[in-house]
Amino acid sequence: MIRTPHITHEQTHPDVERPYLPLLVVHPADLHPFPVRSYGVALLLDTSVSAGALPDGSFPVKAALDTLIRGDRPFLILLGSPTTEDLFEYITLCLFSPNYIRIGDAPVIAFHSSPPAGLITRLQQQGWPDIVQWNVPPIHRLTQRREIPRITDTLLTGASISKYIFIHGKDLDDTLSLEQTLYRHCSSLLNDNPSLQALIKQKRQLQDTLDTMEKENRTLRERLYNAETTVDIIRSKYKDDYDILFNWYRQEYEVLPLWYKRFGHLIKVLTGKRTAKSLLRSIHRRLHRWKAINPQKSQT
Amino acid sequence: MPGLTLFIHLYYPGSWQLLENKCAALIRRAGRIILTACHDDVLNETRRPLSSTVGPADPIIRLKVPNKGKDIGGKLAALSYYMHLCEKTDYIALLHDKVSPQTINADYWSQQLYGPFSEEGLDKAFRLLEQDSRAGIVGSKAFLKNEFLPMENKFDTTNNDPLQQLIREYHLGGRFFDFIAGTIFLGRSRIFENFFAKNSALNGREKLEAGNVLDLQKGTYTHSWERLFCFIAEDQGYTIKGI
Repeated sequence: MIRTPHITHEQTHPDVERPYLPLLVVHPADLHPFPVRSYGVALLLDTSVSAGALPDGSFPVKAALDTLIRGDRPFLILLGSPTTEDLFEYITLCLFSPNYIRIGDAPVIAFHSSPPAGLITRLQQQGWPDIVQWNVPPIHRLTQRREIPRITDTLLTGASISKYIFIHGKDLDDTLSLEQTLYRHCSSLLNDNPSLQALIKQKRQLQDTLDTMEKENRTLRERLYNAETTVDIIRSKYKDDYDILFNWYRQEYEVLPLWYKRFGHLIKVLTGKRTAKSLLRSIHRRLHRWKAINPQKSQT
Repeated sequence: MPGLTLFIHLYYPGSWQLLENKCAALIRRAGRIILTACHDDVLNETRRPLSSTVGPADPIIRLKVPNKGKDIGGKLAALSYYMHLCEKTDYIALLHDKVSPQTINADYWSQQLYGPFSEEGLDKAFRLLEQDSRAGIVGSKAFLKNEFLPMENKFDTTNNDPLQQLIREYHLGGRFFDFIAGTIFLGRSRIFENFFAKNSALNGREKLEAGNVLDLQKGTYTHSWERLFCFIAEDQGYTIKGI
C-alpha cells in the first residue's frame, strides 16, 4: 500500500493506506518543479513534445526528465497519439531509470493508441526481452469525479487488473484534486469495513513478497548461469593458460646455462630484488647438501 | 579543477566497495558519476553515502540497464544519458568492476588497470593531458595494446571481422590502432561528444551481444567496441598514452 505523507491529517484519514498506486498523468512541463513528491507519475509524451523541440524548448523538458530519471518516484511513459519516433532516445533513457515501473524485468509503456511502428522492436534491441504494453483500460483511468464510485468499486472488489490508477484531470491542480477525492472515497468505505481493509492490505503484502521473490529468483538464475559458464571455461582455459606459461618458462629461462642463472642471482642482490641474506642461506643450504652427499670430498 | 564525469558499470555484488577503495581519488574528483548496473542489489550497494566524496551529498546518477554488451553496454547507455541530459565536462573516465572470473590472475590485471586512478596516477594522467594537447586517452601502460598487422591490413584478434565492420560503418581512419584493453581510462570528453553527436550511442548499443559474452572462440561487437573507443580518439588526431 502506498503512503502519501505530504497529505495533511485534516485532508485525509491518516491510518488508511491507499488500495491503489496513483499515477498522475503529467506533461514534462508539469514536472518543473513538481509540487508533490510521493505520487507516481505517468509522463505523457505526445505531439507537443518532440525530440527536435527538446534542446531549445520553451520549458526545461530535459531538466524534468533528468529529475524524473534520477528521482525516487515510480513512473512510466504514457504515449499520447500520435507520438513521433524521434523520442526513442529519451524514452529509452527513462526506461533505464531504476524507478521506472516494470512487471518482472519488463518495462511498462502505456498508450492511448498504438505505439509508433518499430518503437517496441527498437526498445527490445536495447536488451529488454519484453516490453509490457498497456492500453490503459477505463477502469484504470480517472478523468472525472463521476467515475470515482465505479473505479472504487473495481478496486475494492478485487476486479482491478493492476494496482495502478491513471489520474488525468484538466490540469495538474484538477489531477491532484481528483486523486484526493478518490482517496477520501476509498478511505471512507474502508473505514466502514475494517475486515475488507485488512484483506486488501494482506493481498498487497503477499503480492509484494511474491514480486520480490520472483525478482531474486531471476537474478540468482542469471548469476548461476554465469557461474556455470565460467566454470566450463575455466576447465579448459586454465589448462591452456598453464601450458602457455610453462612452455614460456622453459623456453625463456630453463634453457639458459647454469652459470648464467647463478650469476643472475648475484644481479638480483645487487639490484635489490633479493636480499644478500637470502642468497647466503641458499648457498649454505646447497653446500650443506653437497657435503652430505660427498662426505669424503668435503673432508679433504 | 577541470570537470570530470565518471562512468562506472558494475555487474558483481560487492564491487562498489572494492572500487571505492581502489579508485577513491577518481571518485572524489568526479563532479558527476553516471553509474550503470543490471541488478537492484548492486545498485542499492551504491546508495549509502560515499566515504570519499566531498561536495554534493550524492553525485551519482544510477541507471538500471539490461545485461547487454557487459560493461560496454552500460557505458554506451551512460554516454547516451551524458549526451542528452548532462552539462558537459572537460574530461570523462570509464571504469567497471574488472572481475573476469574466467582468468587465472584477474586480481593482478585489475590492479594494473586501476593504477592510473590512484592519487598519484591521476595527477600524472591529468598532467599528461594538460601538457600534451595531442594526448586524447590515458590508461594503464600494461594494457596499452596494438593488434594491427599493417602488411595484412587486419587485426590479430578473433574480433577482426566485427571490428573492421564497425570501422567501416563509422568511417574511422585510425593511424596506429593503439587501444587500452579493458576500457578503463581517462580521456578528453570532446572526443566522445564529437563522435556521439553524430552517431547515436544507443544505436551502437543495439548490436552488442546479450549476457556475459566472451571472445575466446569468436569475435563480438562488444569486444570490438572495447577497441573502438580508442580508435575514435585516433580518428580525431589524438594519441593513446599509457602510464
